[in-house]
Amino acid sequence: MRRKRLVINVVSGKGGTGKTLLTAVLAEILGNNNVRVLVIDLDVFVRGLTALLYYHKGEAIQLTEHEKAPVSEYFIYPTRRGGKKQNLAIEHYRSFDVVPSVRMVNELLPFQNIMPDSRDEAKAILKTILASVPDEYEVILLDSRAGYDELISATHSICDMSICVTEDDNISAITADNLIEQLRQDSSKPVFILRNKVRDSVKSMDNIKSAFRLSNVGFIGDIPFDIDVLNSFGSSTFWDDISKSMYKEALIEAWNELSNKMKLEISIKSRRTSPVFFKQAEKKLGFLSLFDRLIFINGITLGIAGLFLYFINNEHAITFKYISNTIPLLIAVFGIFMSIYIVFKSGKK
Amino acid sequence: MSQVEDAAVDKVINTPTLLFTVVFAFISGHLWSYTIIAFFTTKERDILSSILGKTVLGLIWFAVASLIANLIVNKCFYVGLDKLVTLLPSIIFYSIFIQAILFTVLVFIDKKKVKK
Repeated sequence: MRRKRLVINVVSGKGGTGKTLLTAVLAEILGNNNVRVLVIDLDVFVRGLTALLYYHKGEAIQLTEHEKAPVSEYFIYPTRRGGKKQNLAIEHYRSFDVVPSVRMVNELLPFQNIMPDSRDEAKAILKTILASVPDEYEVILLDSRAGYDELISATHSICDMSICVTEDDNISAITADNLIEQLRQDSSKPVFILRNKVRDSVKSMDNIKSAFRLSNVGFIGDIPFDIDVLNSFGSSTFWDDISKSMYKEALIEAWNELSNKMKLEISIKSRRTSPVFFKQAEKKLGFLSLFDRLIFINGITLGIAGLFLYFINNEHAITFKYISNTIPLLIAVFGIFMSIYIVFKSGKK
Repeated sequence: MSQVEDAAVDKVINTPTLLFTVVFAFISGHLWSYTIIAFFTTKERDILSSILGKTVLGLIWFAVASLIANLIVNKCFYVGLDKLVTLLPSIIFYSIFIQAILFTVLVFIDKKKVKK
C-alpha cells in the first residue's frame, strides 16, 4: 500500500553545515530501502546538490532534456509553467531521483529577476513544482539554500516538516536558533534539529540546552565527525566509503528517530558493524579514517597478545629456526607504536 | 549435557589461558565479522553480529591455526588438551598477526577494485 506523500524541507542557518550532502545520502538510504524518493534542488544560486551529483572533474554536462524544466525554469517563467506534470525535469541518480536546479551546472541565470519577491509568490511557484511531481514518489526532500528568505519561509509552510542541519559549535547553534525562531513564526509545521560533524556529543548536549531555547523543537540526533566522508568527498569511491561509514549509520538512526516521532512508519535497519568494539569509542576516533581505525584496533590487539605471550607464557612460546621468542615482543611493541602513531598523526591534521 | 557444560565452563574459568583464549576469540571473531559484513556480503547476517557468533568465528580461526601449529610443533594430528593449552598463547598471537596482514591486504584490494 503506497504511503501518503511526505515533503521534507532541509534547511540550515548558515552554509557549510553539510546539509546538501546529508540530503543526498538520506535519499540514497531511503531509496535503497524501497522508498521512492525525489530530491528537489531549490538552491539555484549555489546549486550544491546538482553540482555534487553531476559535476565531475570540471566537465559541464547537459543535465536535462530541452523540453523538461529544471527548478530554475519555474522561477524564471512562473506564469508560463502551468503545473503540467510531464514538464518537470526528473533525472535518476543511483537509488533516487533528482530535479536539478539548472540545465547545466555552469549555466548563467538572470539573477536580477529570478527570485520571488514575496512569500506568496514563492509559495505559488513551489506549489506548481510540487503539482508537477508524479504521484509515485513517497518522500520528497527539498534541498533549500542556507539562511532565510521568502523561499525558505514558503517551503516551510508547504512542507510536512523541516529538518534544520547545524553543527556543534556556538555560532551554528545561534544561527540555527534564529532560523528556527523565524520558521516558527511563519508556520506551525514541526522543525527538527540534526547536528552534523559532531566531535564531542556529551559536551555538545549542553549546547543544545542553552542555545536551543525552544521547547517544542525536536532533536533527532548527532552525526559524528567522520574523516572518511571528508577525504572521499567527490572521489570515485565516495558512495562505497559512505556505505561503510559511521556517518551513514548515524543518519539512519536520526531518520528512525524522526520516523518514530512523526509516526512515519518508514524504519530503516542499519547493517553496519563497527570495527571498534564500542560505537561510542568509534565516534571518538572519527578523526581516523576507517583504514586507520582497523590498523589501530589490530595494533592494540597484537600488542596485548604479544605482551601476554612474552611475559606470561614465554617458556612455551612457539619458536622457529629464525624466529626467536623475542619476535612476538617486538611485533607487540610495533603494534602498539603503530596505534599510537596513527592517533597522533591524524590528530595533528 | 548440563554436566558437560558445567565441566567445560569450570575448566575455562579456572584455566587463565583458556579464559584468555575465549576473550581473544571474541575479539578475533568481531574483526572477522566486520570484514565479512563490510566487504563480502550485502545480506543481513544476525549470527555474525551476536557475541556468541563472533566468539565461535574466532574459535574456528584459532582451531585452524592450532591444527597447523600442532603439526609443526608436535608433528602429529593428535591434540592433547594440556599440550594445546601451553601452545595457545603463541597460536593466538600468530593468528592475530596473520589476521592483521589479511585485513590490510583485503582493504587495499577493495579500494583498488572500487577505484576501477
